[in-house]
Amino acid sequence: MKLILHYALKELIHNRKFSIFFIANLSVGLFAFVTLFGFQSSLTRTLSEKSKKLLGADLGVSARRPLQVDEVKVVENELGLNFKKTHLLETYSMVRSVRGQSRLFQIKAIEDNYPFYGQLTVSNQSDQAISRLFDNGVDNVVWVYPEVLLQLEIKVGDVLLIGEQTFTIEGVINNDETRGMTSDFAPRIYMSITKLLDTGLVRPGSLVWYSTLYQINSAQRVDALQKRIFAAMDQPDIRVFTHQDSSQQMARLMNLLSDFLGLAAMVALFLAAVGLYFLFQTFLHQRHKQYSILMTLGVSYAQTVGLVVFQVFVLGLIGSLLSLLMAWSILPMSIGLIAGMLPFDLAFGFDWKMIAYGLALGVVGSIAICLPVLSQLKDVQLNTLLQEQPIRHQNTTLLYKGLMVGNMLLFWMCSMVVANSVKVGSLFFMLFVSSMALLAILAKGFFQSMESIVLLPNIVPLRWAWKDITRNQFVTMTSFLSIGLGVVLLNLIPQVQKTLDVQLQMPSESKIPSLFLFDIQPEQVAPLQEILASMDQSLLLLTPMVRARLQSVNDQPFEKRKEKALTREEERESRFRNRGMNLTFQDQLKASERVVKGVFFDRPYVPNTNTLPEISLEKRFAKRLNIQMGDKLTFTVESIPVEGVVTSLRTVQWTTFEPNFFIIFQPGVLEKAPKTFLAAANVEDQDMKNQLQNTIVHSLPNISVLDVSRVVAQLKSIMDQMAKALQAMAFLCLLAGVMVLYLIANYHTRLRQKDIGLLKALGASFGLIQKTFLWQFGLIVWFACLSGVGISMILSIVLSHFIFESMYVFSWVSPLITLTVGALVMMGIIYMAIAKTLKVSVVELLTRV
Amino acid sequence: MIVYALFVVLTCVGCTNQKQQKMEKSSGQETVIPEQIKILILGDSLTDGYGVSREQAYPAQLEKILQKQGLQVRIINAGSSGSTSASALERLQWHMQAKPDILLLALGGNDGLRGVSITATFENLARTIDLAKANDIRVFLASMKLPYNYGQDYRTSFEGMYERLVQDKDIQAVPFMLEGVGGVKEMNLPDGIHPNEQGHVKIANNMATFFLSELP
Repeated sequence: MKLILHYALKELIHNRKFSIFFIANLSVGLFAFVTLFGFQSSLTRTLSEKSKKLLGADLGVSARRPLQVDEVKVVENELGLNFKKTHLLETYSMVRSVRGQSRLFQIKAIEDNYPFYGQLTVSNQSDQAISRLFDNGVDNVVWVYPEVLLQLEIKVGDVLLIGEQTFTIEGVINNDETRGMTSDFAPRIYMSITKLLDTGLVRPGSLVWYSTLYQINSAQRVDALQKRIFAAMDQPDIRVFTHQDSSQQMARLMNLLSDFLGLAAMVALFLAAVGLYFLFQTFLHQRHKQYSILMTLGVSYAQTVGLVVFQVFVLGLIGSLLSLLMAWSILPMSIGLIAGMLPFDLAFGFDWKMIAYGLALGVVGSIAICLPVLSQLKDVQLNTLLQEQPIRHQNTTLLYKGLMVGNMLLFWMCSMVVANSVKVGSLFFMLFVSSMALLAILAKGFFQSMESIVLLPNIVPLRWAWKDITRNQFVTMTSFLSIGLGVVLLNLIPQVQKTLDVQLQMPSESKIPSLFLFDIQPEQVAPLQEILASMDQSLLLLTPMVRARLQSVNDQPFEKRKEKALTREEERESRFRNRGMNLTFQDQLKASERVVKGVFFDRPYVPNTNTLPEISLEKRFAKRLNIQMGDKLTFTVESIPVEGVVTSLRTVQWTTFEPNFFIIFQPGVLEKAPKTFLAAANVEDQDMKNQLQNTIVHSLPNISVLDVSRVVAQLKSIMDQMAKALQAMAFLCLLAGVMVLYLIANYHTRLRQKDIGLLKALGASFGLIQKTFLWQFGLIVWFACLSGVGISMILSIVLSHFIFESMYVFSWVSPLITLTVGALVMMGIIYMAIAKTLKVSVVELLTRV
Repeated sequence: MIVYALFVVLTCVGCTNQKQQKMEKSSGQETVIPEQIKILILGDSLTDGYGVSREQAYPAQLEKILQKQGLQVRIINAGSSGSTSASALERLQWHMQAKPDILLLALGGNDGLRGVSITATFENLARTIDLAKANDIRVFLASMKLPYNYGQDYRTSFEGMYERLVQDKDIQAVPFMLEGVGGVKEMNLPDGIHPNEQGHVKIANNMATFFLSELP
């Protein structure tokens, strides 16, 4: 045994080129995988930490009433013993300044241990200042958002009348990490709970959110806890929420990136697997005689397999350790670059999961990939020693097929782990398998068409190449499949990236809104425009909004009557259906909208015709309500029925930050209905923004102005950097892809060495041999590349649609580059390999295998 | 069906239901068609029945109660969730085509919740009342109350505004609609603001008592 192991290691050292290639291929593939997987899990972890900051806690419960003792007990029983808690009261109140001005503000009352995560940065950030907020012995003090000072035209140290008490402004909040990615209806004032209770604002009949926030110091999953508490608590008015709920908008963005990274990681892994397979095929091909000799000398089949498995184990271990080392040394730097682009610090660290996956895939994966090839050792017999013919291994044995199926299952499992979803992982896997099947069909078609062609131009190398292709079906088929698959994977990532890039594109700075204005009455449109014009500003958009209720779909009632006790889920659905909807009307699609089904109306509705007005619905909204194309919808606008038929479904590119509506009516129907307008403006200067808000409050007081600039800036920054991250990841996949293409080309040239030797022996000139093989490989490479590019485009359409829920964006650039550069690079490699082979003597070539 | 066509239908309904009693000849005998009173309720989410079906919102419930009591009434629910008093005038103009006999003005709650100036709300409601009165529509005003968290000063001014409107415009106030509903957990949706089905029944009963005493 010791002797065999010694022999195995010696052989690896002797076959240095193979060992280096094996390790390099595995390292690059695994490095890409570990990097992408690591980045993905870092992102998830960072997002989790960020979302904890947004909530300031892990989990919370709240209601518009104080929680009862038994209700709190239910929550805390589920949490166990290891937690901390803090209370929070939130309400709105009219607050008056010493000057007599009063405005509506949000009051957030806290305890001194708030928040558990993140922090509030106050202008006067001394320990004394912080403790003063909670010190009952001193004067009442508050911390305020800067907007409070601007709106009331006051300064720090001034006094505010809140309820029945006066408060001194102690500090201004510079940064509130618990603010979340939403725009508050009114600026916020912080005070202590005890002080709020003294104001007289909190009493039965007050609208107050009572929350208890928890920090959980155990390893329990917050989403599982949330479910358990929700199930144990039978009160529909109590909300149970986790930090994950508080960052949904950001989570949506990050999910997009995470899914892309998962896909890229899978592609990198698959590329590495394909590369390893061909490399090992080459290796086994070369070592065939050695194994024959070993087995002749008395080494059993099992021992021979064990020897090779040991070799693969060693190489796999070295390869995976190297990839982890590369990741460990390079990643903090590369992640640092990407993290610097993100609006928050990306906490990157090696975790046990990443190391375990790296090692397991490197070692177990390598062995698993090599096993089907190894099963061919069964063919090895003594007589092969005496044969001069190269051995064509049989890939059709039951064992080989079984091991290949096992490999596919392993890959499927990996897909699900990386995608972190059975559905998404399975879709990745199915698409890869389908593309292989499609390639096989195309390859078969390729053969048949080759065989049927009888008239060929009288070019000798071409004729020879033609005959060779039709004669060596095994080589041609594997070449075609491997090249095609490599190109599919290589072109897939840039294609999907392009689609996502377009989704992340934003309008120019001047068209991004900073203010949203609601409840604009028709007669207020002109005065509002005048106010803006007086400040050299204008509205970015003005959209009519008609409030309506969806009464019936195809004459079947849509609203739910509550006549019996409903489950909480049924009740939620019932309330959703009975809430009313916002309709709008427009004669053309906005830049952010795209029709995915049907046709958008291009002319106003003509009354007194036998047709119904047309309606366009947002695709996801229609899906949620189970409304199909052609359905008749009956709305009521303040009791007046309005009917229409669904003639188109749209997707909305929400990154434009334009207000979008789920339901759009054809013009000519709702114009006279009672409506308000929704508007957006881009006012960048803060002073001008304040001035505009103050003018609107005085002249058009019902209009609510929402400052969205902070949220928009935050989202914009994330999207900008996401686009860069996508590019970086696509590049990493490209590297792995080029490496694999090289290995494939190398493998196939090696397979033909014997034929080259024969041609040389027959006296064919170097030029003729070179041309013959270039023709032969050229035909295979170009057709395989073309097929690969085509299939990758189909794949990216499917992925864009199902995983990224985006419209596929067609671009010639990426497929054209993959096709030409990929094919030319492969041809170059083949050319060099042939040139190198031609330099080897005929005798050596003929005795090599 | 389009809004334009509906205007016509509503207008015709309005025409055939004149305030005075109509006489119709049927088999040589004169039949008295009872007078139908049209009540337009111009309101916000409370009237719209936010979260409950329209049939279970208080206007539909009120219509049923009044009809059961023998009153020929038709109630037009002109509730629109989220609406403020600023929309009242335009909406009344739109609904005038249905020729309502009575306007129940139940707006202003959202103004208060958003901290809109009392003067602005007063003017909006006053203009709406003036238009109704100019068209011989009897006006009832549903006064709103604000939660305690809005502060005593603002709450007092807000409630006082409704009293001033009643006096200045010489109209009648209806009793507080949310009596026995506001702040009662069992009567409200989980959001604690909007009445649930039970709450709407209670509101309808509150209103029915008032209308039964006011209508002929």
